[in-house]
Amino acid sequence: MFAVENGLQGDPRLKAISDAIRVIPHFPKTGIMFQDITTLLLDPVAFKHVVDIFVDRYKHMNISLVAGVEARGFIFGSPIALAIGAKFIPLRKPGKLPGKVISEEYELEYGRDRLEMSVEAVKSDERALVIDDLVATGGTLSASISLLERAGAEVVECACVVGLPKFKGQCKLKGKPLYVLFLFWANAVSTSSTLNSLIGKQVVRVSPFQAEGLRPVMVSRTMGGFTINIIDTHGLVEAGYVNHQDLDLIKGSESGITVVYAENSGRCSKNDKDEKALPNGVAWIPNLVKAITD
Amino acid sequence: MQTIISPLVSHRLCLAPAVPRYRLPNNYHRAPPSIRLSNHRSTTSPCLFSSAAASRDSEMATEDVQDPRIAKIASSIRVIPDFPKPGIMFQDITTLLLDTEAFKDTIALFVDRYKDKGISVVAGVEARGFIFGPPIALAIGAKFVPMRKPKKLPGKVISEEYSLEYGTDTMEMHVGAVEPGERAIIIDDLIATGGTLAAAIRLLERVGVKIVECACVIELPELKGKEKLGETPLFVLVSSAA
Repeated sequence: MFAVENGLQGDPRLKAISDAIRVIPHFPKTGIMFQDITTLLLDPVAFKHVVDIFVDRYKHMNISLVAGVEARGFIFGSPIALAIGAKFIPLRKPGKLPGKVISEEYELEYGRDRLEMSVEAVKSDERALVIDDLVATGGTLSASISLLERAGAEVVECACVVGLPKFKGQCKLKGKPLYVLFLFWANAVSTSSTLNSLIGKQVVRVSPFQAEGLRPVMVSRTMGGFTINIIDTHGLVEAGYVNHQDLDLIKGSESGITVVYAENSGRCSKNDKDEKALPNGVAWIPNLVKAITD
Repeated sequence: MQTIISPLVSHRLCLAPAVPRYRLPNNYHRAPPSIRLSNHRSTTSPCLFSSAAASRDSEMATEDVQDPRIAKIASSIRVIPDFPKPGIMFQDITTLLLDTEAFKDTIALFVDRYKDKGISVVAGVEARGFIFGPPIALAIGAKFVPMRKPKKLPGKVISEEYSLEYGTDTMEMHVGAVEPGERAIIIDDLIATGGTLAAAIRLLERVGVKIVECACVIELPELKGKEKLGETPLFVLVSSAA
């Protein structure tokens, strides 16, 4: 569930947290905007906010067991378990856990992997949480749910710091609720990144928490004797609603010839070079610059 | 003269013969006078002695700590023989994590030691260091810096190679995670040969950080891991002889 919809709207802690999450483009491969929570861990206040938000949510839910997915799930799961007085169970890559384990296979983008859990750690009828830093495909969390259920536990909820927008709303994974603090867009080219590419340097922060970034913003660059003003706004059409506020802002600031409105679509098709492309196959960023300067 | 303390965990899941798991180090009797072990203490409690500056042994949790906390922690650690390979007696802390009081006490013992010491960095070694490090960091208001296996950290990293029994491995840390002059502690669940902790020390020192101490739940003293740490002190809660 998106944080804003959970009654956390306007919670000042959310901005501090999202500001602390770093986005690394093209890691581990081209096209992926990696949500790096390690910078969050360097900010003790923001890190504490994350744990506090989860603890406030779960402390009265009678949770007896917190399962953390190796390895970043350990970082969040452990403090949460301690604070709510629950046991902590690491869910690990194969061969790491001693003693009797059960394992569950799950799909990766290419190939499969396995997750293991100590079967002696879980009693029947325990109420469990699964914690990881990030949910993308949901494969790891689904495997985690399976492991806990096979051992007889009841999975009350899965919780992550960040998740893809498909996990927005009353989302369920394998029938279990999923709680996500922030949504992020995994597109390699977001409007902020496009703006930075056009200007030639990082002038606008690429933020995972797009709805609360410092926008609208206008940046200028002079090329070939012309000054280009680029206005970066929130999505002009978001979830079916037109953002009139930002549209009015654009209209109000028109001081030259408006050349183009660009709206990035996550469903852009790609050309052979794996660049987002227009229908005729031309990569659209270079085309955008060309359209402006011609 | 050695005092053999009867085993606390061997009756649990371990199949090894009933040899004592905890005994005082061989040089106990040569320890400076500040070390005391009261005769009336229960023989089932694992060894506790206050550290003496002159002693080259690792510092153990002091006698100021209530006995029950350390005893409970030690007894919650499970020994698994022949894991991950024959001949190794594996010290399994996952059972400690299932004992909510013992886990809480473990963290409290470290926090009590390191709060108010100007420590701004808690570095945790992947992966079990990620379980103990973050709660300590949160409690003392320090950053948590993960020290990871290769290619896990995105962005710019610095790396340090270290020896394994066969071959080498590499540990990585983010560039810019720490600043020169910061004071750090390094956390892992266990120190064995000390190779991993030594690599972590080198990584942090390369960027100008002062390592105040390495802290582990368990030490395997016979592997002499402390010697690899150079000037850096070592603090452990439980010393386990195989």
